[in-house]
Amino acid sequence: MTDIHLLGIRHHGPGSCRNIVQRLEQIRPDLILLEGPAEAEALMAFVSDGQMKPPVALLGYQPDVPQNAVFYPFADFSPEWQTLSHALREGVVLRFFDLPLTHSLAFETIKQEDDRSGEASGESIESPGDPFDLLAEAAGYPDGESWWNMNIEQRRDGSGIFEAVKEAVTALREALPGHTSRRDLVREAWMRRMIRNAQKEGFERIAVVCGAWHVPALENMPKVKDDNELLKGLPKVRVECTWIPWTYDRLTFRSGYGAGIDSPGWYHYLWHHPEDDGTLWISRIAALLRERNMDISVAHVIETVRLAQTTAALRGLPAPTLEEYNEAVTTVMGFGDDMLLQLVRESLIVGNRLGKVPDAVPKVPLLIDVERQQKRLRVPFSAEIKEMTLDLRKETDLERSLLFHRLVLLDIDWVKPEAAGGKGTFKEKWSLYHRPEQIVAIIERAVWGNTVEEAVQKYVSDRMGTLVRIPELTGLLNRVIPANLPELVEAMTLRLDRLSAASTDIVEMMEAVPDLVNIVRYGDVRNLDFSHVGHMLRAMVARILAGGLLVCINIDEEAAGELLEHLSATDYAVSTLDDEELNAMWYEFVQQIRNSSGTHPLLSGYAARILYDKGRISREEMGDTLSFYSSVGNAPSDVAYWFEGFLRASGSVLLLDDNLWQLVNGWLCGLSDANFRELLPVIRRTFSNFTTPERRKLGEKAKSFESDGPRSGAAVGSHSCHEEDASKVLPLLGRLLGMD
Amino acid sequence: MSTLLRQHAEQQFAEELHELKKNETHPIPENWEMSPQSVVTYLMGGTLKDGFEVSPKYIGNRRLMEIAVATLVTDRALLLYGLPGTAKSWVSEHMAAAISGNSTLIVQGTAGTGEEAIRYGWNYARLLAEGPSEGALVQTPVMQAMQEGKIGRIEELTRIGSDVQDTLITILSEKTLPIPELNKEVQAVRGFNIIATANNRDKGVNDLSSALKRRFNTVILPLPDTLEEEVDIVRRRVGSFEKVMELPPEKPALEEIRRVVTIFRELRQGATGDGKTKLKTPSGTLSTAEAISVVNNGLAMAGYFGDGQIHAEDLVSGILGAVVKDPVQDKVVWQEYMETVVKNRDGWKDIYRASRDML
Repeated sequence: MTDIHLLGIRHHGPGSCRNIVQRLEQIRPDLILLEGPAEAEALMAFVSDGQMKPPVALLGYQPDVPQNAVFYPFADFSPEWQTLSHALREGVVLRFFDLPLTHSLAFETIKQEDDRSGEASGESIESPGDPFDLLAEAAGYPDGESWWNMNIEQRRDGSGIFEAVKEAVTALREALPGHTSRRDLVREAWMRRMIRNAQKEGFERIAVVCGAWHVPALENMPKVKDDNELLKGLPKVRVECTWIPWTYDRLTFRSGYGAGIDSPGWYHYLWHHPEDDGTLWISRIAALLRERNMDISVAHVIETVRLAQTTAALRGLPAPTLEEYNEAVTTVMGFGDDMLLQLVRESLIVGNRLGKVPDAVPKVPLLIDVERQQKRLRVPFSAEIKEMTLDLRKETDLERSLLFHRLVLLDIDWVKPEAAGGKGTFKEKWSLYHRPEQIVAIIERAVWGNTVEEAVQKYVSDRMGTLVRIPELTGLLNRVIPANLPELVEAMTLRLDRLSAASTDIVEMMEAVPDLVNIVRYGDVRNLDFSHVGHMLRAMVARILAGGLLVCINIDEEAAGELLEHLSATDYAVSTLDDEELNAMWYEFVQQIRNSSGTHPLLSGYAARILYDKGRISREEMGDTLSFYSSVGNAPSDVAYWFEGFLRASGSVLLLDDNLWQLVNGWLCGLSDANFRELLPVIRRTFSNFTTPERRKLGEKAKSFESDGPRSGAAVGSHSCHEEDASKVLPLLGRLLGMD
Repeated sequence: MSTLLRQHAEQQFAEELHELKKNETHPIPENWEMSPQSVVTYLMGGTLKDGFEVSPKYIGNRRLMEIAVATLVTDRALLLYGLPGTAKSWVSEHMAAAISGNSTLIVQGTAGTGEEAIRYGWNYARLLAEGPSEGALVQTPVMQAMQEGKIGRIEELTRIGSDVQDTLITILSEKTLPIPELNKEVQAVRGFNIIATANNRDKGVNDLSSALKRRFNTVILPLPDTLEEEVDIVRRRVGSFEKVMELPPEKPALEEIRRVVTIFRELRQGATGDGKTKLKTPSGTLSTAEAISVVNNGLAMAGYFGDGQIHAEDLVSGILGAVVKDPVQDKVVWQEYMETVVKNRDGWKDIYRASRDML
């Protein structure tokens, strides 16, 4: 007869860990059955590899649909990890006896399809609430987590603990028959089949290490026939497995990990220093606080440890828990304020530890390429959020920037661009934050190519094919440029050209112009040739010139408002580039808008203003236009729109530019009484868009202008200046602008 | 009923203290009246083994009280810190009563508190007659607490000048009080400790020197978390006040207490309870203690001048007094609150009207 020892555990916990190691050494099994997928057995040997550093996770995925993946995270203090180490150390046969991934991942696919078709499957994989809460309630603990911590994890004496857990869970499962999902039932049937097989093979002492919840189901074996019934016709998919580095951060509840724990860093400490009385823990906190310029003395440490122990005694605990230590730190070191704990939380209580896996672990080529480049450019994954400023004039930084931009294009969110002192500088700012899911994303992209460069090209080309709007394409192009992929740029410009030739949507083209201007203006920072983009830009403005007017005619207020935004953005872009040919075309287009009688008055007002500002129409002409549009023949609403366009967001301009001021002021003062009364509401409407301080200052200006009489020759514009005085600032200005 | 205006904690709750001692099961630190566990039970309330009900003195987080009591066990001094009216002195009094059976060894800290109020003073007539002698020595509460192994209390520690504060350093670290004039010293007996209180709202106070700070464990007493908790506190305290003041026996309606507490909470937080309306906050603290006194005040008004029932008018004058500390700014705050919130709230018309009449 075989001896079967059922050892129920929780996935992470130093207490469970210690118990399992003790018990395994006691039982000396000749076979260990561990909860885990059979596919991973090939990867087991890596556990004892010197390069392997937990936390790591076993990743199983479907190669054709990599996003269908599961993780099995392990830390030093995971009982499974210790079981694996034990088996390798002692040379015990170990088998993973959970339902193979080939079936369980197929379940996932089916479930997703169910979800998509909107059918409620009637069972949830996520358990509704922690069943241990019931035990906690009965024993007077706030929740299941603290019950388990106090009774299992913190217990020093492990004898009889597995039996006790078995009893507790058996009672829970009887009380909550609906809590176990169908999927779990299938898994348990499989586990039983594996146990039976092992018995048949003649193993004598079998240790079964699995989640505590499954223990009762493995204890009472039902008929073989029933299990076979459950396991009949399981779906199947192809599966691959690998080890990936994991982080403590991802072990926490707040990262959404189902079997998460609150404080991996604390468990790490408990596992590695079971004999410590808190001195080491508090000293670490003290050291960390001193690093942050907090005055923490040795006496503080002593008092904190004492207070934590006394509080534990007062609460009837065998040893202080994290709560007691936290409270003691707050009281003694923080003067009652728990700000200090926030400082140590990330680095100590959670612990920003990132695991490592041996190079020999089978990986997808793309991941190997990413890692190779990371190594070369010295930008490894790290578990903390890191900020990085790159100077593109330096070669390494430029290469880093290329890699980052390419990864961003691959939608791998390890790096994120941050705004750094405006575009067009040599500086780029990035924030780096590694989450293990990014590895999955990389594996997912692996189908596109074996190197980053290849993958980006194919991935982006594929995406490009789905884009039909010009602005989307130029937006993407704008992101592709800094990744230095000339072939891709060429392909994209080609497509852009085709799209814009076929497109009749002038608005789209206007949206695209600022992006293109950006590329032409700043592309040369990177020593790349963008002449074809320049051609394209010209072609696009030419197309706007050819067909743009039609868009501005016979439209309602809303459409005009939208168009106005595009006009203004395009105007800004064109004027920053200041290319003669472009300017000529653009202003011709604006001129058309102004002159055409059918354009919406909002646009025609704005066009007049642009032309006046750029000096394309004279002051007299402007004055005529003003009086033309304000004359009685126009519908009042048209007048109102015209003025709104004309003075769009110009409160400050009116204040500072005396030319414009005099123009408007002169025209306003020249109105006849009747006319003025008629126009007053319109003017008021226009001015009401300005901010309050602007309006107040405008009022003050109007008052002083009146009392002084119109100051001759524009007070600021053509004021005679002291050349001598002015020249004094020039050297400094030159230095500021970097002209030396 | 006793003729005293207010009884000390150990007098008022003598029965509870007695029962706690009777039911003691945990080890008792030397010179303490009861075990730390029982002290926490006394503060937080609970049912004893023989079914005796201990009333809660502090309503709030139990863990805070556990930390505070544990601090006194480790023989570090305890500093209770927080806004005015968060029950600092109240907790300090009850702790001293439970631990030492005596809450009267108290020094009130003021800007004028001198060294002689903390260490020892002299009876000058006898000093002149006899020269320095033990008979001429005037003992302070702190000295007495040291000699008897009891808890000494210092109120408003940060109001005391820094130089005077620092005389506590020797007392707290070496647990001794030298008297060079008599060439002797008083060594503290086990059980001695200090509970100090200080508030973090006042300006122009004397922050503790880091040497002294290091000798205190600090527990911050927070404002009540929820409306329910605060209403509960006010109700209990008003109930006990009624007994002490022998007011007409009409119970204050819970609804009225809730309204006062709601007003205070909303103005304190600068937003209405539902978070929909932003409010200006007045310059005063508007603590729970002030809410209690407003209800008491209303109760007294109703009892002596009204029909025994609390009406809006009785409350509003008290609320106004608490809220409007600055006649210009706070009045604006209050009026805005009246117009934007109270006026439109169902069933609050009476408060609005009463306030209109009063301003």
